[in-house]
Amino acid sequence: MAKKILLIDDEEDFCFFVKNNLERESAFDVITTTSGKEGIKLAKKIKPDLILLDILMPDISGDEVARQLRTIEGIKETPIVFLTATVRREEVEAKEGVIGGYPFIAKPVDVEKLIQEIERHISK
Amino acid sequence: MAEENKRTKFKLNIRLRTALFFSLVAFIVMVIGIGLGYFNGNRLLYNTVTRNHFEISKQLTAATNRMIDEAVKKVKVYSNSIFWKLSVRGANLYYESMDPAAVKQLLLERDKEWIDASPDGPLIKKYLGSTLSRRLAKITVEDESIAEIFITDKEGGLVASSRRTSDFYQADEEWWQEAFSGGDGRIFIGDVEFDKSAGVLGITIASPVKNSENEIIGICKAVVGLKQFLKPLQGFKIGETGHVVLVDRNGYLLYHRGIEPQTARFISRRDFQNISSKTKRGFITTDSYMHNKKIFITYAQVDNPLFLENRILWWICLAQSAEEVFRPTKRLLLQGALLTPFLILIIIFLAYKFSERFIEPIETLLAATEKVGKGDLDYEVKVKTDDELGILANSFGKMAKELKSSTVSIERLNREIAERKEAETALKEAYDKLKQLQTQLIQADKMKALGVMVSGVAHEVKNPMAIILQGISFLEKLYPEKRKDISDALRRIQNNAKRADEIVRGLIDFSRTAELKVRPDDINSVLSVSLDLVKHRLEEKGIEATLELREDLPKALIDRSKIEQVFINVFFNAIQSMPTGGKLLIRSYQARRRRRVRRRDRDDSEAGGRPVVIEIEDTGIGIPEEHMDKIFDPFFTTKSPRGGIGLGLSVTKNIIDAHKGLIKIQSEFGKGTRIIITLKTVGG
Repeated sequence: MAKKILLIDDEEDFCFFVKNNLERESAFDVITTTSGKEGIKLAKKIKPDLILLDILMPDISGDEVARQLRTIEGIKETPIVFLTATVRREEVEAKEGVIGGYPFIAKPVDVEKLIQEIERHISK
Repeated sequence: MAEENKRTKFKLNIRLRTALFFSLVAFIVMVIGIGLGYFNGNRLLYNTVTRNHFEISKQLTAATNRMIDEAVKKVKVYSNSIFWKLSVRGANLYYESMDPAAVKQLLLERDKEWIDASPDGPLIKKYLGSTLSRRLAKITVEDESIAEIFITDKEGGLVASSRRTSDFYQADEEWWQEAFSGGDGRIFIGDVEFDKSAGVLGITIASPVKNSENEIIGICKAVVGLKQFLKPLQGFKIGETGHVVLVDRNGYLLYHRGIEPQTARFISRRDFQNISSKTKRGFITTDSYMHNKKIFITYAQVDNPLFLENRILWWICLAQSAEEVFRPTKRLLLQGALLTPFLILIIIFLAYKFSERFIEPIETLLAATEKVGKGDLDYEVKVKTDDELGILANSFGKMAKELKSSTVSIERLNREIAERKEAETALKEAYDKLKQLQTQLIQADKMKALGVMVSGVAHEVKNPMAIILQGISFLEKLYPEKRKDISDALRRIQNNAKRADEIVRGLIDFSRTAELKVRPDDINSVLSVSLDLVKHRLEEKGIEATLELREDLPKALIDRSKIEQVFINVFFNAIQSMPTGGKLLIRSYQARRRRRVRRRDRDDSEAGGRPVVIEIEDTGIGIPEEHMDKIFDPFFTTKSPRGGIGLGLSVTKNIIDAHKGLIKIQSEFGKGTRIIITLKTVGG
């Protein structure tokens, strides 16, 4: 059974291309949403194998989403990888305490690299 | 040497001037003196000679007077002899019974007879042969002074005569009437004249013959030769040319050696006026029988009372050549003239010597002015005279002293000014530092604001970039190998999107340079790590990197990630300047000196460690000189549009500045570039 990836990102276009690219280049099923709240609901419902989470989002910020997800039974253990356009390692590091040392991938990101990263985190 | 010359010249100058001045004065004084001396000497001489000559003339006059008196006395004596008287009385008896008219008639007849009578005739013989006549003739022989002597009776008829007289009747003659004087009788003297009967030049002396009742019984007349009166004058001489001259009332010479009496004038009629009017006692004339010679003349009248009474004017004159008379003063003048040059020489010499007396203090003063002029204000002026020079020297000394005190105060003032300037400089430095700090703060604020803005922008840009890249990946798969044109276009879009992403990354870096987390760190390890990060690029271009790192370096105070970024930037630039390979030399060492610090600001504790220096040298194309001053400007780049965004060196500089370090670029176009970075160490 194909692994399910939940992508929460407010950029709808980004979601569109990532979903298409990933599904074509890999065996993952990609479910996308542009809203943090929606993402949390979806996560409860579909129980993804990995969650890709944008940090800066209009409704709820990525770290808030992550915090809430961690409170949900069955999703507590699901790997979360941040996708961020704010790049800097130290920025993310500064928030480590808050978001529990989640790994991140800087935007923009190659399809190949993204697949590699996802596979790496799922297999852990 | 020149100074010495000048001094000597000055000395000579003043001396010569003094000497010249004195000699001029002396010359004038002497000329005036000699002139006055000559003039007064002449006057004095004139007066003296005049007086002397006059005295001599008087004496000669007196002698002449005596001669006259003698002659008169002689005549008187003769005329008063008894024998003569008896003879005359006898003659008078003849007239006793005759009336005066008959007497006169008789006498005139006899006179006529006498004149016509031949010398040998009885009449003449009768008279001249008488005893008395023979006696009278004897007298004229014995007494050569008497040229002729005869006696008349009371009526004027001849009684006896030394020789034949021209007339018999004498009562009509002036001398007879004068001597008879109307019966009173007196001595008559007639002026010089040529006596025809005697044949001599002489004077007539007529004396009445009187009886015991003092009545005139006859008149005796004698002609006394002029020679008789010249005796005192003969042979008289004064000096070489001085001689005596006897002059008659008309100015004719009665006596002059070698000149016949009454044949020549003594002096011109006009000059004779001086004598006859007695206006000048002595005078000089050129107009005389003595040719072409000035003569000095004095005179005295022969003042025998009888002469005066008979109005006879004789002048005894002393004549001497004026040249001889005034010779003494002339000699004086000559001597003065001759002496003058010698005196002037002596005066020049004395003045020259004398000038030393006041040159010396002047020289001392001069030396003093020189010393003081050269700044030796302590030099003491040693002039010990009481005159103006002494006063001058004194006031000069005072001036030097005042000058000194004012100089001292100027020095103090200068020192104060220097101190104030120093303080000012320090203040300025402090101000500059503050200003710099302020600028840095403002810069930091700006950078912070920029950082905030840049991260916002970056986020907004990066998201679409991510979408574009994902979109390209998507499209790439839709158009596989056979659509080469599409895949090429997509590759180009992808490259540019990545480039835009890099720009954003650079902007973020640039905006965050001010935020430092400084820790002591090993600079060598930072260099190694940074070099590792660009290793594959170096290999790609065939660049050989060499590390020369000092092991004993102190820890540098750095934000490791920032300095890493600096090194990477520098390495990238070096790599880009060597597209066809080259050498990269990386060196680290400790600076020989601390950064130059003002002594007073220096902290002497060991804390002030020397900074570390990192040199990164390439053999690339170098930087043209015209770019050197713009090299650190943001967005300045010489690389191709694909090469970079021009923020690298500007970011580098900002980071080094934030570390309070130094970055220097040395470059020679075409040969290579050397970047020198200096960073503070612990305690630095």
